[in-house]
Amino acid sequence: MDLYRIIPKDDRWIISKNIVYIDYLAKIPILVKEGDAIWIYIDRRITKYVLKLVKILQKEEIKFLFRSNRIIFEHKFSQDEIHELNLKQYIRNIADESFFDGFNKIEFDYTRNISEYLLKYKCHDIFKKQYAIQKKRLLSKYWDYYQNKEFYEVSREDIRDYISALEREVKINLLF
Amino acid sequence: MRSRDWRRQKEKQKILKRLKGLACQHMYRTYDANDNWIQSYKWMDIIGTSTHYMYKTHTTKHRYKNRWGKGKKVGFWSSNDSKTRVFDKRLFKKMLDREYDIKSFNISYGFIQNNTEG
Repeated sequence: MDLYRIIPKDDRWIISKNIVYIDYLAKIPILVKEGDAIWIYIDRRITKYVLKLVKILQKEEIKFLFRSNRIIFEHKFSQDEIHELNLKQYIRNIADESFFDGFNKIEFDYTRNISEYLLKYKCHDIFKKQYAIQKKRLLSKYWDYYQNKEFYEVSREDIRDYISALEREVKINLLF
Repeated sequence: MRSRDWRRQKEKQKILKRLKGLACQHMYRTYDANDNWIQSYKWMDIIGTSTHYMYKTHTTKHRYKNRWGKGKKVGFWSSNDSKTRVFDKRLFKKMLDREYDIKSFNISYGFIQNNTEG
């Protein structure tokens, strides 16, 4: 796969040694090519560019997986730690409104992508563990004593529904 | 000439300067935009967080007025800059509110003329 063919012709997109960077205040990595595998950093700093790149790769029918922005040098982490960080960011960043609406707009199947990740690396136990932690935090609510009102950690109801049904949908995806 | 691009570039330089300054001075641990707990962080890790957006809104004091920020009312260093145009306007609005019961959001030249003497 030629990276120069895929990436938009713009001064902000920079390629160096199979890594694509975005020039937004600093050079932030967005895509890594390791042999045949392609990784995209699911990063909230550059949501606009991540969505643009996902749309292009989806059109070209190229398979890819998401990755945590912490993992730049792989040799510093063990294999379990890498999966833990990746899956944590998978679950947490879909609660972000811009990612949730963006993926819906470009009709990208996010749950299918998670199930592909689990099939490739066989890390169901880590996913279950991370999902239990993140679900507890994202669906939590607190009482504001100044306003006498109850607030959720994630304000939108459709996102909360998606998160609560995520594990079930991943299981269905794995079956078929 | 000093066009919109020039102003945007200058603002970017100013924000970068503030970000780099903070990373050198203060704490060594922080949460980044993706809620990761990072130890011995660099200025790139602050991008997208609340502190980064704070630096966009805050202003720095200039000889004549406050500059480099979206909300020009919020001072970056101090609010005791009594010689600036922004501070004068704030005082003027307070005076109108106190003496003539005119709220600050209703201000226009015609409105003041109608409601005041002379």
